[in-house]
Amino acid sequence: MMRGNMIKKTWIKTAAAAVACAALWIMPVQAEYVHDDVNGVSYNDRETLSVDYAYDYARGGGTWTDVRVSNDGDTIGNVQSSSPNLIAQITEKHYSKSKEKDYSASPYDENQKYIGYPVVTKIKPGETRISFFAKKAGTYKVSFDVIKKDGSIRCKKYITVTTNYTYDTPIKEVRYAGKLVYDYGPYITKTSGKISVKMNKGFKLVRIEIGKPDSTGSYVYKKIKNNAKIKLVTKNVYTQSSSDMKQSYNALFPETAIRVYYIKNKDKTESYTTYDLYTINKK
Amino acid sequence: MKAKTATKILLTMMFSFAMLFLFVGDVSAKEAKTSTYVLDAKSGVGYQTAFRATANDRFNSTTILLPTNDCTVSVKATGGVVAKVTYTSQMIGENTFTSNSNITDKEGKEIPFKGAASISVFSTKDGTYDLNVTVKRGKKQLTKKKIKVIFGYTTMIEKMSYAGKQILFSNLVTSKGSGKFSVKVGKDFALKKIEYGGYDANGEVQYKTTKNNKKITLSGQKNFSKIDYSYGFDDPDSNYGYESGQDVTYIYPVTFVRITVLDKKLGVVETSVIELFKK
Repeated sequence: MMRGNMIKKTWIKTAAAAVACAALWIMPVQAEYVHDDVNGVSYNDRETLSVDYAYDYARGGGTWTDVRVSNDGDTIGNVQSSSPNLIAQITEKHYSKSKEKDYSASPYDENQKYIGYPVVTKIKPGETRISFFAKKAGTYKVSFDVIKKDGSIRCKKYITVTTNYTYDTPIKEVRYAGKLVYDYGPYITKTSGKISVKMNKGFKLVRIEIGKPDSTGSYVYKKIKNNAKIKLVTKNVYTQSSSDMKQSYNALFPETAIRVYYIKNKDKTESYTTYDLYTINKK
Repeated sequence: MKAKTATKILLTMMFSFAMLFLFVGDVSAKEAKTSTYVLDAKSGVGYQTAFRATANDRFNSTTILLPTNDCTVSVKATGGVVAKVTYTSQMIGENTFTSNSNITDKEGKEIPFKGAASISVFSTKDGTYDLNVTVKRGKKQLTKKKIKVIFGYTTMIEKMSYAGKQILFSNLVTSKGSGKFSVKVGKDFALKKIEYGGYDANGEVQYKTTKNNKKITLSGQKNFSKIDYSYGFDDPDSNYGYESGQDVTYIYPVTFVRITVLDKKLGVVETSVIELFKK
């Protein structure tokens, strides 16, 4: 847990605010990165974007997916959108080229004159980026083909693109010492209290863990019961040494990490959300 | 992989906001300072003369750069501000580090340091306060410095528009190929420079300077090819070569508008980059 920043280059308040939000990590409902080992293709089968938004890093689209193929000579093509209101287009084609001498060939020409080993150049296609731009709100289907070296189609794949960001809200509320954890300001002065978690419908609480730093600053997690009384971390002081430097840490806002593990009833997947509770240590 | 997607969304959100405040260190380096870091030549201590902070926020800090690895730093703040040394590093033996803080010698080379101390500050009230920092070497006082910390929300860019349409966040998709670009900066800031430009065929952005409230024409460059990495490829004597690159085709071509402003309170210039897309 490296928490000290050596140089704060500037004051990016909004970035800091975003980090503060990230302290409560809500997982968006998103498809996994799909690996089709049979056809040798991997991609994201669901993407979300905002209407009428474009970014340079999305190459003029609102978002993108990167498609990778593993079969030699395969390429991506025939990208089609289900609607004119969603533009889907290949925006990046990555490649790598290598040049090597072919030592299996003869270095002599037909007159037995030495000409050196021939140089062979190989071009290998890399990942292909498909970018999306939404003109209107909706849910769209985009298809693309994996095309073999000879031009025939190996397989067709589909990506669902939606303009609606949807989030799971598995946890209804987390209270510490009787108060919702959101309602505390930047830090909490009450150093011990009851922690209680309530889940939303469709999710089952599996377990709660409390994380505290050990003497090396690494967080160690221990299982606790719901409604258990906990003590917050009030001091996080540690040093780290390597052959070229020694670093000492003494946090102004020591943090206690509460991990809430839950199962989504629908698909039985387990995940967790972390709540960071801060105290202040002025010494 | 879920985390990856979550990161992407968070990144997208952060990017939209952060671009407005993005700090680029190398712009107009000759004309104005880009950093408040200075070197105290007598003691060899590097420090920030002033910095901005946000009230009720846990993430405000400044760093003191130290010439030897046996220095200790202490701090006292005015006005009820909480200030504490939360991190120190000491380089061992002959090891040094450079600070990325624009502290350079006359040749422009970064000055190496042997230690650092981060001071975290916290305030519930807006206002300008002083941090009184003492650097000691053993029992001997090396130097004493006053660092100004300004707590308060400030907007670098208050309002921007292109072709009569307001630019929220830091980008705009527009069907107008040319139009007036206007920017209004916040009260602590002064507008220094506006540059704009699109990519060339090699994927480099070509900027030209314009003035506030003047007509600009957006780039129509949709394609470029860029070499990301190349080794020995164009060298006929090399037995081995490797090159990687990308061919790029934009959905809508991008024009960057780079706005340079002076932070009048800190005396440093900062830049933010806006993206305009031609539909």
